[in-house]
Amino acid sequence: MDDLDDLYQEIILSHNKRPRNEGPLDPCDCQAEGYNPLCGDKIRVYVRAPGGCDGLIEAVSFTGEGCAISRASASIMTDAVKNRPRAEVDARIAEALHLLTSRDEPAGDLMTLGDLAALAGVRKFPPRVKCATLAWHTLESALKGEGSASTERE
Amino acid sequence: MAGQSASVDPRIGVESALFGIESQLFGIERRLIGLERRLIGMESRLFGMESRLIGMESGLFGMESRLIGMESRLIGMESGLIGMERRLIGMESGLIGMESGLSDMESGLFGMESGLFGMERRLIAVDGRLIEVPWQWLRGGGRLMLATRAPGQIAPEAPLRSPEDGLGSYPFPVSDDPIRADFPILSRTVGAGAGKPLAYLDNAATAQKPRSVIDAVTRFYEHENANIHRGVHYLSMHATDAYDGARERIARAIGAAHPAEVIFVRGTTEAINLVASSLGQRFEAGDEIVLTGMEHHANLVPWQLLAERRGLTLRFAAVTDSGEIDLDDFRSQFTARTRLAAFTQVSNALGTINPVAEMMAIARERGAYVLIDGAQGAAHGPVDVGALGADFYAFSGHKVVGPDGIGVLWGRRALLDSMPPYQGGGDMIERVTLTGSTFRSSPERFEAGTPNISGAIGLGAAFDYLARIGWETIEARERDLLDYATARLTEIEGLRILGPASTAAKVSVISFVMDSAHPHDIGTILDTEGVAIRAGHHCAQPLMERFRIAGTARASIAFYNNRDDIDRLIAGLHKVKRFFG
Ligand SMILES: Cc1ncc(COP(=O)(O)O)c(C=O)c1O
Repeated sequence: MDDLDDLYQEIILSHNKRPRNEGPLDPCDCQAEGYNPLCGDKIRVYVRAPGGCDGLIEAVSFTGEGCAISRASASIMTDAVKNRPRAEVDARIAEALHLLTSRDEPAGDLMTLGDLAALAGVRKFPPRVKCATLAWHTLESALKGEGSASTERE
Repeated sequence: MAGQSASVDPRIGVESALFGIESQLFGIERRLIGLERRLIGMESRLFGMESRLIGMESGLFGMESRLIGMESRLIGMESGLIGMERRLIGMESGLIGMESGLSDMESGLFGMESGLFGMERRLIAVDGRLIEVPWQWLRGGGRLMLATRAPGQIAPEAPLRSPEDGLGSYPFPVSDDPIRADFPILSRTVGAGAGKPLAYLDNAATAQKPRSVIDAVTRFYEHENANIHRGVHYLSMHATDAYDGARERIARAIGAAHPAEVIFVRGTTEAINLVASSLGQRFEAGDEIVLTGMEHHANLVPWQLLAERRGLTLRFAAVTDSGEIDLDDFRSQFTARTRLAAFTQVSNALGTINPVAEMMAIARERGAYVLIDGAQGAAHGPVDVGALGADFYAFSGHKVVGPDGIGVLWGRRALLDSMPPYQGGGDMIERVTLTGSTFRSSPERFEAGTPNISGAIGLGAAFDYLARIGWETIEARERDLLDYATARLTEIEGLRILGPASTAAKVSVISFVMDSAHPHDIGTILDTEGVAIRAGHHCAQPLMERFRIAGTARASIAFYNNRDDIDRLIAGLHKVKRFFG
């Protein structure tokens, strides 16, 4: 019960219901489609970086159907990386993937992670971890110009 | 008292009248007691018979183990005693005969037991009616057991239902259900801490195993393990007999014309790959294969691979909005180039029962080979490959309460013998030289290498078990639960069931979506309540795309489930609504 409340915190539920930055970006400088073959969920991530995807990432958005965890994670991600230089975005992606997949307690102060910290509850539900990482892997692919990502191709 | 009454007192008249009434009431009471006693008597006589039978059974078991002891002493003696050993083998087969006699007796017992259940229910009905007798009638007769019981104390937990409701409404708790007691895993809990009792509703993914199947596999490894068809030694011959015996039993159970028509494979997936690889060598560029839009990936991907290798065209029959095959569209997919049609008997994602006879007729008219994917069909009803009339029928052991890693490809013998081998290796060859080999006929031709011997024996035991329970009972229980679950799910607002609207057109598989929650979230929340369902695309992505969804939540019911499992599913879904509503 506690674990379930951890997983479906208010923050997650509200991001799921009213996601930030849902919908395509136009113009868009790079994008990628992410796919979780285990459940069939698909997500598309759009990036606006007029100076190129190696420079300042101005905005990120997403489209696609998914469970509460994958939608909340995507929504939180778009807020967490916008208006940051590429290097910082890469660091945030690494931080998020570490938070979601490592067995250790989250390092550092959960407060500095902001809404990201709310995703930590997923670690108690191993089958759901990939729902949470999908958006981040997809953003990674978009920035690298790969076009597509899959949770089963890491 | 009577002798003392010298003068006539009018009150005495009244008193004796009251006495009369009282003794009449006593009379009624006695008759009721008599009735109850007779029923109890019958019950205990049946119990007596049952325990005598059990006694006989354990006596026989004793004899069997003594025989095994003798046998091992004999093996320790000289080789000149082979004759004696032969006689022992004879005795052993006698024992096996006795054993099967015993299992007949056992099934007789089963019948008696269910008769007993019926009586018990009738008793409870009588009891219930007794309780309705005005209390003052019984007051004062404190000796009367029935009167001292509060109403409801002995009443069943669920209201009694009419007999045509079937066994599913049997109003007793889990442990009293002899079928549930056969499945050890059903008594465990799942989840963190003390956990929740398991409500296993993922039977379409894999079925649970009865004790008799688990024991058959264990017994093989403890007493019989050896490789087959290879050793001249005792154990090898014994293991070979057990393996071939399982094949014969399964062949009989599915209506095969000959045991050689039953090829042991890893499961449905391997069975279909076998046909695609072997029969597929006959197909030429431009040839066509007809499939449907509701196939499991196991009955799609092997054909895609073959089509790519040989330049074939795959054509797909459309699925209607109610999740059924559009027969006209199916017919229209056949052309002069159609070589084979492959379709599922029952949809694993929606539960739809396909009109296999009509589909067979259409394919036959066009002279195409037919493969039926029986992975789900074989789990919900008796299989009769003769009546189905296809060329191939494939199913998996693990879905029919057997072990995993074993399954069956049934095929027509002449056709199988005309097909090239699937894999090469030991046991499938006739003669091998450095430049080439010749091959044995079916089934060995298609069983290269050491097969899953314990799995085959376990699958034989699974078919024995299903026969003992009886398909009528299995189907009645599943149907009761399907109707009950469908009715209860329909009451939930914002929940939509996919597939045929009528439960008569489907097996006990219920695929649904909810407005408020994604299937994955439903699955996780139900899991924390001990309710196991499947969430996702069910290895039928084209079908999901057809319905423009990523996946569904699927509750799949087996005959060993009960209404409590369904009630817990419903309660879990209300919890989902509390989170996401
Ligand atoms: C209709 C259908 N076909 C084929 C399969 C594949 O069976 P297996 O994985 O046992 O080979 C399944 C099992 O999920 C199924 O439901």
